[in-house]
Amino acid sequence: MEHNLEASASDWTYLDRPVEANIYLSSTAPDLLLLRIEGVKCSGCIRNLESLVGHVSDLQSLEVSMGDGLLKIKKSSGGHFSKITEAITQLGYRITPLSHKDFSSSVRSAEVKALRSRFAVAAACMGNIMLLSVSIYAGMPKSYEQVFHWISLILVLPILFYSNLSFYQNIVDALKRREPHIDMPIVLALVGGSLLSIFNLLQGNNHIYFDSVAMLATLLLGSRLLLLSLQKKFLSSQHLSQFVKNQPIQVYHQGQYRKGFSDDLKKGDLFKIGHGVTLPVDAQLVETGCFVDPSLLTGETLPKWYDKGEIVQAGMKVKSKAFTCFQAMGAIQDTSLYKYILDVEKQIHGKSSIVKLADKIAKYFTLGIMTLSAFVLLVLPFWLSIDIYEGINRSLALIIVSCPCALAFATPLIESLALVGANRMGIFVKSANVFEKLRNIKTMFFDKTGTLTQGNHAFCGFAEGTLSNQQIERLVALEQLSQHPLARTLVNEFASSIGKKSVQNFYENHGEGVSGLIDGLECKISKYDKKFLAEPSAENGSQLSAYYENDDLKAVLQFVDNAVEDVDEVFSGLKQLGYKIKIISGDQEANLTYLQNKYAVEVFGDLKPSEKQQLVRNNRPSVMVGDGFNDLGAMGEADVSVAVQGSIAENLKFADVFIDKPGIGLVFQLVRLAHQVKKLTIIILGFSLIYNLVLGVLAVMGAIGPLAAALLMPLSSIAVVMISLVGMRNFSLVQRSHIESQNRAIPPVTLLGTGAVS
Amino acid sequence: MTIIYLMIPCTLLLVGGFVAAFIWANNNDQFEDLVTPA
Repeated sequence: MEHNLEASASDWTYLDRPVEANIYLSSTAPDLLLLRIEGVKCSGCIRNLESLVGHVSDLQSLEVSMGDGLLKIKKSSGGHFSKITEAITQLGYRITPLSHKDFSSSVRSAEVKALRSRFAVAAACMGNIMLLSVSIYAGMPKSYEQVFHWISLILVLPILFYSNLSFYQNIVDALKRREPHIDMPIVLALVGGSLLSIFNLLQGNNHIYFDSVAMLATLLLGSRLLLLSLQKKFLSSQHLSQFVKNQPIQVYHQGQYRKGFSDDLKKGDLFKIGHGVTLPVDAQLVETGCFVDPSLLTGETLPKWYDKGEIVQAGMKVKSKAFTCFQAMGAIQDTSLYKYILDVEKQIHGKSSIVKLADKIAKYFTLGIMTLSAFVLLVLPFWLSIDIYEGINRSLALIIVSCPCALAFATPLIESLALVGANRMGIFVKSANVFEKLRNIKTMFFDKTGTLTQGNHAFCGFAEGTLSNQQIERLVALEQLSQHPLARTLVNEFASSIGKKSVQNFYENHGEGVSGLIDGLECKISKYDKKFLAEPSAENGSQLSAYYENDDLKAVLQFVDNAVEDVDEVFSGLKQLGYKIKIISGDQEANLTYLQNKYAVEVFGDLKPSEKQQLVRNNRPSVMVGDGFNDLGAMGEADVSVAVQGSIAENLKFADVFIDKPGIGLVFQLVRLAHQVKKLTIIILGFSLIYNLVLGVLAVMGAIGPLAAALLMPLSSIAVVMISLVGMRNFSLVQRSHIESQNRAIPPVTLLGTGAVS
Repeated sequence: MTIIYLMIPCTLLLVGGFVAAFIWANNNDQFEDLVTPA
């Protein structure tokens, strides 16, 4: 429901009349208005818009989301929307109010669509003009040549009056803001070249540039279209939400479960999901209860049991050996997690991923080029005593060839790609500034528990007693029926003993233990308290379970939270890049010395949270890597805080970076990414500089004409896009292998589940 | 060579036709989703 109001653009008063404005305003927040905004291209624009707050008394606050082309304004109580919209229009932005039901990411697609049409028209005309041009260059009888020029003129008109409109619009907008715009030399070349050609055609002389003009317009529109599509793809609010969207689920449809997409779930839909999948919507358990991992929402890593009929929140990970059946309570868009993520995304994309410096350079560059071309046009012909037409040729070629598109687009493009690359790996980076800080700050603090250790427990042997093969078979038979994660660890550990015994009277008391009758023996597994051990030497953080037969304690099983796999590689990699690593922990110093010996890093043990905070503060500038909750203080002190695991809601509030995967392998990837961003930026800026310098000199010397320049110019844009994509390629590969390993991580026990769906 | 006086208008009509077809398709959202199966 989009209303095109260009005809009545100056009259916004209908927004103040409740009945007419009704469809744009939400009943819960009547002070908010959502608009589609066109013409926001850089950080300068955002600053311009933000400066309205304070100047326009009716405006209380305002939020721009460049990626979506959206603007959210909040009026002060008693204020009028019309005053605000008028002020924005006067700044030179085109705005369209959106109904509150309508803010989907499809807003950008209107812009892409229009550009696609303009490009199509320009391309068709250009192709035909080139056919005619080639014949002229090949040598034709004079009479035909004149005819061909006239047909070229007819074909160039749609380009001038339709395709180029977006360039004209940009210039008009920029002039209203009294700022130079990179499209100015382009429009000068396009319009100037055409007018000059028409004049020469009427005069009957040979200097006609319709082919150059058409080529330049087409290629420019083509590269704009490419960039806009990339932007739409990467900057739209889709990607952070990806980790609740597109989950593999089985949807109940016409009597059977079929593969489906979580995005299409509606209220009341029945669906099944397997082990390790994040629940995409709030849903009720229908057939059985299950364990879920609530860490994404609460930071708690211990699985929690939900009974049949209970409602599980979106964002929880299902930890169950079989497929679990749910009934959706609503669509993805209705969940509070999704709304929260959308909010954060707006925050992320509204202000970052824009590079002020490049914007500035591009503006001065534009002014410089226009001055230089004026010089070439007016002074060079007299100075070198060349033909006035040769002067026009050279200045036209100079303007065309040195269009600073590459310069203006490169840096934001790289940063967007880096943010997206990070997102795909499961790293959520709050702002692009993080990359720069990560490169420059060389002191890194790591928390131990939950960061350097896995946070889930593996079987590591018997703390007391041992079991015979018969006893292990009984133990496994019992655990196989249990839903508890520790039970699955055991079943995997003793996989060869699976299915040897049968269990009667199986009973599971969730969170307490399991019991059953095997071989006539009353077998029981339950929690065990450390203080009852004969030698209480069990490692810190270990969990104990006791196995009984006929109430007779047979063995105590020990589970330990192991170190994450990649610590070794990450530490040596970081050290090579010159980072100093310090490990801090609330654990006893004695438990840390092995880390000190193994990795040759500094360790600080026995720290209370406040002491951690103190330590980080005294060692600034520093980076802190921790697992959310108990490290929040220390992370607040650090210049860059990286949260691994833990709750997304908390972490995105406090941490600059949030990693949704266990282990610290991604921390190293993030640092590498930060270095890659810098490397690529330097490569691209260097490339643009050399490219423009060389071709600019050639154009002034007259070595390349306007047509060759028009062909060469977009090559620089394409080269920049290619360099960025290739440079970031490694990081999308990481993502792929990561996903594969994730898919493999489903334990083989799944196959034994009763509800396995093929 | 006078045949080009017939051929060129034909070409222009053809170009116009294809451009019109493309714009029609574009305006009818035919290029909005190029990934999922038709």
